[in-house]
Amino acid sequence: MAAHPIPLYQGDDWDKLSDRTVEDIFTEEYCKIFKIDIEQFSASQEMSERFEGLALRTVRSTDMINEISNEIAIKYDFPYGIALPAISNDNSEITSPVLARGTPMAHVNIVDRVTEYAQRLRVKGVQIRNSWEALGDKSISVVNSTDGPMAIWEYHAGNRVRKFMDSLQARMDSTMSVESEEKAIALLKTKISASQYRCYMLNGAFPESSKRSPGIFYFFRKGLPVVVISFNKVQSGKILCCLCIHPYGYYEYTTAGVMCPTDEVIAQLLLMRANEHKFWAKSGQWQASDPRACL
Amino acid sequence: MFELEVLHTQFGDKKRSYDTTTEKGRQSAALFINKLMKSGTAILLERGKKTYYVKGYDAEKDVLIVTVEKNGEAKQVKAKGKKSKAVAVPRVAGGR
Repeated sequence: MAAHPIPLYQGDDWDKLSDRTVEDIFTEEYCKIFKIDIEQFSASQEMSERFEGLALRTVRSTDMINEISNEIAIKYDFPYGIALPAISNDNSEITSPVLARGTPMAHVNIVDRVTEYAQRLRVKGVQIRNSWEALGDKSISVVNSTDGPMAIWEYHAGNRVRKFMDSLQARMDSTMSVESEEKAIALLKTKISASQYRCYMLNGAFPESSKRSPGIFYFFRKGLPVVVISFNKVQSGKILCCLCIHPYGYYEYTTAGVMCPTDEVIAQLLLMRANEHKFWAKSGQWQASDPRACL
Repeated sequence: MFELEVLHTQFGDKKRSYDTTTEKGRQSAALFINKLMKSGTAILLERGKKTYYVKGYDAEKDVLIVTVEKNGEAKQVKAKGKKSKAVAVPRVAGGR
């Protein structure tokens, strides 16, 4: 018989243990079951206690919250800080960031291939049978109802506007600052040519050719997925797909990452330059008609 | 001197410099690089027009070990650690 994961205390044994010991036993087991690093768990506990303390104070601000998260990041040696939810946001769908597996305070990251509309319906408890994007700018989902399967749809134009607004809100409610964006722009300037930098400052995007496949260009866009265009057979260019990739994490149903937009561009650019195959493999790949491509 | 720019969610990026001329500097650089590698962070080193994935740091020889793609195969070569500038990108989440 396999050993029991929790020490087998019997009868009154549990009563003899101190609250602290019981808490430690359950924390350890919880971390084992959900594969959470104990140190990260302690960090999240400490952060939640300190936020609780802050909530009881009459004077509080987002700067104080940022300060606490920064202190915890330094204490537990999280080199890229701690991503926080978009705090003042009332929309529960985009409050929590989706973080990369293994990063500090990572949430469960579920990536599947249903449409974005179906994902949102699923969150509301609707049972999805099938979903797809249709030509004519709409997403269709077949859902279960009391009268049997039923098709419902959503027009992309409305979704795009909502995504745009939600992204603005998520960034405004996050820990990003103007200074961090300026710092990132200064770093990006050292990594690209003068012409690319000018293009980025004027248009919010710049192109870079693929080293691996001639005729293919990556368009790195500020705060939006990378557009990959092939000029090989079509002179005016053909969109191969849009690559969505965020270092550390992102806010769900938006185009906002937990890092400032230009930091994301730096990460995308360097990952592409170092290994294109890996860059594609790690990215969410969306066709041009998908609203997640943000075209 | 070895400089590492770690992308940061609150401050854009945080620069870490290590004086690799001293034993202590080399040791702390090796410690930090190992820690980042274990957490799945991509350390990207730019040399001329090429960008490499750093696979490790040899503190004894003060060299960075990088992966080079050649004929579709990956092999490891050593790059000098001195005056190197690298960027640490945390694990990525394929977004939507």
